[in-house]
Amino acid sequence: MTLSQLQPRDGPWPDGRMIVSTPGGPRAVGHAHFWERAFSRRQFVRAAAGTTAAIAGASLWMPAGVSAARPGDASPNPIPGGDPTLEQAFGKLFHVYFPYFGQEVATITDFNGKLAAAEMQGAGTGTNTMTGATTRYTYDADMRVMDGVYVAKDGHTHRGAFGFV
Amino acid sequence: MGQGQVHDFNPGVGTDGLFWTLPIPRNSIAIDLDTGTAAFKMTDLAMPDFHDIVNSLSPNPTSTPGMVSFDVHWHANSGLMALRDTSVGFTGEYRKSTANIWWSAQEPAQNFAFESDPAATSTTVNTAVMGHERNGHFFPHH
Repeated sequence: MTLSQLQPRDGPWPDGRMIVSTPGGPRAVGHAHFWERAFSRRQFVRAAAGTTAAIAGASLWMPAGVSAARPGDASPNPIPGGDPTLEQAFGKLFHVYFPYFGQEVATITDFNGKLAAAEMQGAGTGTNTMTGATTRYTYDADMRVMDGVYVAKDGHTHRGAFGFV
Repeated sequence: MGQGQVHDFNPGVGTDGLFWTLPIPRNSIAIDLDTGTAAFKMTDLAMPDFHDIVNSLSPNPTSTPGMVSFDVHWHANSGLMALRDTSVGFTGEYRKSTANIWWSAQEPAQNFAFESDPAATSTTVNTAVMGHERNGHFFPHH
């Protein structure tokens, strides 16, 4: 759930999309995930450079699924793949795809069950609880649920529910 | 949005790579593919604030303790459609959907509280989805 400062000219379009003020004038958003919109070009470069150094010193990292079964551990394993946008930005694979129809929206693997996923946008009010001062914000929320059976780290099949917040 | 991001509430990325995912009580969700409805509701769920996505996904992210409550509802606007992706490795039957959310957050250490406008004012980005999926061990390769 991401919160951003609401710009003075911002507001909803008739079709429900939000207008975001930019140096080049307002532009319509709503067709790119907030991960993409949240990065400036400079942040992309900075994040990628910082992560390269970190990975160079991280020799203990192993891909998910490589480790042996861990007795008594009913936690799920992440999906093996991930969206290339995040991998390009950070130089590291993150095990998640965008929450849209046609995509792999589950974040756990070896899963058989029901799920739902959505990215939503809107606005709201933030309050300084000390002073009572209020500020308007826009938000972006990627929410998902998974409910079914899964093969856990212990190698056994379990039933459970997981939320993506 | 973009560079104006000032809060980012999420559970974090696990050491195993599990992304922003946490176990939840089964009674906090309801998915009914026949009626085309789904819901996810939780109250006062501990949720750190990573400030922004760049910090959140950095190798050593910093965060502030927070708490969120939310109520999400999905409504299908299509029939069931079969999908099979052999490159990523998942298959299932899905319904296109729209979704709405109301949510709030508290961050006492920052003297900050947030409450969204009513759920009806939220909008869905692209096409939301609900379905029954099989991946990994349960993905039929034939």
